[in-house]
Amino acid sequence: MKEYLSDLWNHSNSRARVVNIVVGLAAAIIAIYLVYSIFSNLFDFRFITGPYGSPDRSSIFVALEVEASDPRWLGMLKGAGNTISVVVFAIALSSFLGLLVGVARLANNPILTRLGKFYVETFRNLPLLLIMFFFAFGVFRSLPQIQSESGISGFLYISNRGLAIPWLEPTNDLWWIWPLALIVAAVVAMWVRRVREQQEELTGRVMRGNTWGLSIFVGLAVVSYLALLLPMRITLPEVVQSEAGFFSYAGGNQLGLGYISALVSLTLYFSAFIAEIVRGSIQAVPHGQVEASASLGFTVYQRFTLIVLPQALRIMIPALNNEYQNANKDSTLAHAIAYGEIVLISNRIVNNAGNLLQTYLFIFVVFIITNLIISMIMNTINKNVQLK
Amino acid sequence: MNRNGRLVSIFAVVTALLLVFVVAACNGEDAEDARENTLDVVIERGNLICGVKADTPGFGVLNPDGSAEGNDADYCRALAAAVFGDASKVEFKEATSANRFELLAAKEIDVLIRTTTWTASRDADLEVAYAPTTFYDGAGIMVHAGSGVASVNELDGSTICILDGTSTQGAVSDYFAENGLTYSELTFQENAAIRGAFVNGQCDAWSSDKSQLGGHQFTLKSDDEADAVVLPETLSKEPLGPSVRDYDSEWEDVVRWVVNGMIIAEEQGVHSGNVDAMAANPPNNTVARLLGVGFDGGAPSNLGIGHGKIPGTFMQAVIKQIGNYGQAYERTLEAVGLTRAGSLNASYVDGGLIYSPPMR
Repeated sequence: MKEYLSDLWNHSNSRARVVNIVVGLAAAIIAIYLVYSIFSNLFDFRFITGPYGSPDRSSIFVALEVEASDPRWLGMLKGAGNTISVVVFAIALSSFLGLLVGVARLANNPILTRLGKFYVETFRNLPLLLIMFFFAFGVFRSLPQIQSESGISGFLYISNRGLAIPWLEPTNDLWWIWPLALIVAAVVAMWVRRVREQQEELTGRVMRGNTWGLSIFVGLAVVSYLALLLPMRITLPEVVQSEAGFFSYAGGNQLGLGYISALVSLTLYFSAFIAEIVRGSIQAVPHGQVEASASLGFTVYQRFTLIVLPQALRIMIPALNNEYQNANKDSTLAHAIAYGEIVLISNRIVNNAGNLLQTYLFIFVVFIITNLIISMIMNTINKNVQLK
Repeated sequence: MNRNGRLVSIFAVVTALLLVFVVAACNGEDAEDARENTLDVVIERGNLICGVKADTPGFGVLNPDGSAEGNDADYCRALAAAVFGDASKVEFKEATSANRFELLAAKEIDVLIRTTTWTASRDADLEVAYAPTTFYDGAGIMVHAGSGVASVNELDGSTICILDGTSTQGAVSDYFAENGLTYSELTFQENAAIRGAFVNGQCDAWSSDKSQLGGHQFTLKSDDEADAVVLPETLSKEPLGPSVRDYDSEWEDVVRWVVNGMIIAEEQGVHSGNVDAMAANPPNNTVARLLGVGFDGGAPSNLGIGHGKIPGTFMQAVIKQIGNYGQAYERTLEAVGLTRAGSLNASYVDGGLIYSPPMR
């Protein structure tokens, strides 16, 4: 026995194994101890099944409104949904606005150029939180009060409670199939258009890809709408008064002041950064490209849309990825202006239940996932526009 | 030999580490017993660090020079008087509704006296211990005087502004659900934001603890911004009082009995003006025990509060420098219009809830 033990130690092969096993065991015990102590002391997740406790109706989707009786985990998920529903629109609008301003800054018109510069320098140099306060507590708060019924009667109302707009309303239980059908229709239409355009390129015969694609999409949309027995209809907003005399909006959809302020602020702020990215990317396209296309007889519009912009796109996408992720993260500031995004919803849970670490861990996870999704989408686009 | 020596030393280090962790793991349960005794910490530091509210007239107003006013701040000073015999040995720290319990748990403050409601979940989950209630409050709702609303039950379909993260949110939610009423909630992080929303008609009503609404109603009127009325219903129980960390019973006892002592002092008619005379010649055994002196030539009784770390005569310093419960209330809360007579905060002798267990 003693010899066997000394053999273990005296042969270089077995000795290495012994040391490996001992060190590995020690590391495993330390790791288990750390994980155990963290989980037993800090990661008690029982609180997430408790009721949320108070309602939050600042969401733009009825399904994402937090009810007092919702369990806390559902509240947090709805909060994450509210974050996404402001970030998606903010990214889309700020990209569009940023493109316009970025191009305006390169225009030959000196007034347009200066206006663009003024816009960029204003919004880029102000703190986002200040912009949010400016709109939420300054501009929009001084809008007319709800009882004045200002807006387009029966169609759209605006007041310092928010904006009431026409919206779609499900009329039967199968309504959710229709949006899916629309997606399928769009995919089919795009496929048909592509096939016909490829044929046109090959054979030279006029195949009318765009007309075909559009007709297929509209046709499928109408047919599925009828087949599902008119699953959705448009509802128009109205101002109603309760018995006690309190005014509120009914019908349509209500965009609360918190949502509007957050959306407007994020859009203005990030469009300023995106405008600079657009301008830089366009300037980075070699001037020879413009000259060459001009000598080939392209018009100014064709030169820009067919030659410069596609090449600029290739340069701007990695930088846009950054801004989109920033927009996602900075949307958390909207908790200060009463929009029920994830931080606001989570803070209430922290205040009632006190489980700060666990709740914030959830926020980390949500932002890691959403930012990775943004990255994934942008990387896919990037791959598609790069030179192959 | 050299290589062997190195291996042996690695082996020794690993074994030692293992031992340390095994011992630490076995000692895990004892760690709770080794919690700091805040009373010792406070005495050693030489001053008391007290978490108070920064912006609520009557309860806690933190001045730029670090001093504080209000009922909550007075209880901080009373504690300092009890421990050090000097009410000025207290450092005030702002505690917001969002960070108050973290401040307490992180030992950045010794005691939290900041209009904090005693609830079961805070008591149990947050490991906070509550000293006696110093003010019985409750959620109320305030509306514009011109709205003609006379009761909370008439608020069906209204929009209500509430400070975010407060227990008022839950109180309003429960009350409206129980009574089959609907409402929309609009929450803000600061009272200033709510005030603007209320004045501009973004919300029809403003809900908060009644003690706070009184102050807001007063300033809205004095700034000529809005004429508001507080509706009669009280939607919730909001007992406010000092809180300390759990498993810190010596310190908890000191906090508890300083508050109780001030209540007993009022019941017995001991106040800052007569405390010296009372101590020299106590009228009865209750006063003698309160002030830590002997009755009728007898020896002073030892109550054991603070286990000898603070003098047995601590209530003399408290009453002399701060006064009894009624004096503190009158100086701070009556001044902002919170009438005591007839409210829950009257002494039990007068039909209120302010009552202390006996000090003996």
